Amino acid sequence: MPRSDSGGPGPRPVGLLHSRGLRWGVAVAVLLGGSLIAMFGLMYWRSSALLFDTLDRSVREQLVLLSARPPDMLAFMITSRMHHRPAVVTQVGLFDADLRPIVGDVAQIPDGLARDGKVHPVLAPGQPPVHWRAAGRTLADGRILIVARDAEEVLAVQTGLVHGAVIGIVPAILLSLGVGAWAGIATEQRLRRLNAIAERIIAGDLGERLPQCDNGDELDRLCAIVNRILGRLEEGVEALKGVGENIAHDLRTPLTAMRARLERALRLAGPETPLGAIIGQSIESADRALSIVTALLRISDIQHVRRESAFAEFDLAQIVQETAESYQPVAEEKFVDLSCDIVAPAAIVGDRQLLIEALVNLVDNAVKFTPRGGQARIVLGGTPGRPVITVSDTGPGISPQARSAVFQRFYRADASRTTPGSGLGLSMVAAIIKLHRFSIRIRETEPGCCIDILCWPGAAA
Amino acid sequence: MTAILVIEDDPDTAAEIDTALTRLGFSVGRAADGRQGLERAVAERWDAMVVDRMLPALDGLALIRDLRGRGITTPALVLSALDQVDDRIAGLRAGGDDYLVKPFALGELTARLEALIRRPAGGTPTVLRVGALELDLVARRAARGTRMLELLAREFQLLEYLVRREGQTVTRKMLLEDVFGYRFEIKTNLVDVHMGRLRRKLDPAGEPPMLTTIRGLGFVLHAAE
Repeated sequence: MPRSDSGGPGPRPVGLLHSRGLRWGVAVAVLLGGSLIAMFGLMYWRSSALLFDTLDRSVREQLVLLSARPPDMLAFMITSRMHHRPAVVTQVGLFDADLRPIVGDVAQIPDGLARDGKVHPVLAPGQPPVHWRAAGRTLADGRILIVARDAEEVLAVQTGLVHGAVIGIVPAILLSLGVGAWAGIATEQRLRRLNAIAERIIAGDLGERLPQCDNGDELDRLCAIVNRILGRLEEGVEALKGVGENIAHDLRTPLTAMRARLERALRLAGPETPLGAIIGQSIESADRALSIVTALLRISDIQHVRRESAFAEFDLAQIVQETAESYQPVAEEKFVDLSCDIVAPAAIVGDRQLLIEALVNLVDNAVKFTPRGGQARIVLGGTPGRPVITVSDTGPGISPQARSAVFQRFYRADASRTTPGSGLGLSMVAAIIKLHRFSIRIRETEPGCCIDILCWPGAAA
Repeated sequence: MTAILVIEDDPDTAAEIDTALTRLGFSVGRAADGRQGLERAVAERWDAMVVDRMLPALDGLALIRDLRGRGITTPALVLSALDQVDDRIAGLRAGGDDYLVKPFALGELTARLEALIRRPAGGTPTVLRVGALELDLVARRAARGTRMLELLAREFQLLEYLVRREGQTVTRKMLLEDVFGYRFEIKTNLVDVHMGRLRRKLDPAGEPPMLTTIRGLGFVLHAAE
């Protein structure tokens, strides 16, 4: 049956960046990193606010407390506070209206400090400058009261938090990226393996199965289902093949008897009579039917009976040479230029008779389909251990749509429909090549047809 | 009269073979299964046998083995289904017998049967002669009278095959299988092209032809008058 899959869209080229697995991995890493950063940000913001709040409250309370004291007591109180260090953590400074210090441990009013009674972050003069939370106000008698508190500890806590976050979050993000990428690549590789096997199944190897690793994940379950479908498909195809072969088998005896009777009828009627002519045509039809039956049975013979017992080592160059010599006269008679080029001898292991059959089939076709004045060429090339036989001609060729179909049973390209033959020649070639685990491919040439046989086991993989 | 025993279980096939052989002037005996076939093969004198490979009661090859064991050397043509062609079947030729794959043309069957009956009884001459034609198998030289024939290797093989079957019909299929070694169908007229070239060298204009074409069947070589 002609297939049309060769013309359909092939599998999309699979790139790692197109991998759904990898993209999910990256997305999870970004999401995880983002939420970690947000969480840290919130923590940082809340804890800083809390710590500064504590500082600021003590500064504000001191300021309120001291400003409420009688003005003449103030200097004394400030001095006595200084004796209670380090229990007292705030620093206080009293300045006169000209900003000169009167008493206290704040030696100078920090630059830019608004004397509005509110707490502001300022840089205290000194080497290096120290961060303070400070508040100040102008008292009723014109003096200035400043209360400040060292904020370096809180800043150290903040820095510590940031360091901790960097140590914690960056590896976590990298780890999740890595895990995501690994999961993506692993899935990707598994899909690629499945893809390669699926390609082989599409190419006709229905005995192939998708690998299952029994971990029961979605892909594994899908593989199991596909394998069951393939099993049913294979059974169906085998049954269908069996039907065809049984029919061919059963047709053989009655066809043979019929042909014999027709031969007798032809003798009785006389070959030159009108009846004789009709009988002669009937014999030709019977012969065609018989040749189809024979070819069908022969293909199934090649496919089913593993005839590796007939495998032996021989030189491909010899059969290529012999085939070319046999067909040289046929080509000359058709005014077709048949050339043979053997680059190097090529010892292989195989069934000599069957490989001669495959080669003769291709050369027979090439010579038959090449028009007068055309060229046909047989080349034995390739590399040591990997010989390639190429049969090419300048005939009508095989259209890209027909390329995979010509190796199927019964397929014949339109151009050849008027010429006799069972249409099974290339199917036979395909069966022989498959038996050897060699590979056959049709290459683009303009004009004509070019067929390569890759003559080493496993060439198909 | 030449006597042929046909051991075939399919009545249609057996009847047609019978008719064809009788028409050619053979005396035909029939057996419908292996055991009956063996009895008749042992009890009567036959010039050749046509034996179906798959027979009720006794398999065709076992039958032949049995006969050979009893010292009976009647040549046998085994009719075999294609999927039964194995090494043992293929080995028949070496033992002086032959086989034909079903389905076959009757002309093919009779040609092969005649070849079997007239097969030379041993001896390996190094020079073959038909009339004025002489083939030196050792020197690979052929001459018709005093005229040397410039033959290619394949043409020499074809001529040798024909000379060995002088006066017998040789079918295209026999030549394709036995000379070219192609046991399959081809689409080109390969055999006819090679035979045409051989004919031009063997029978040039002005000389009486030795090689005759039998329409639809094959070729015969005989000594020119």
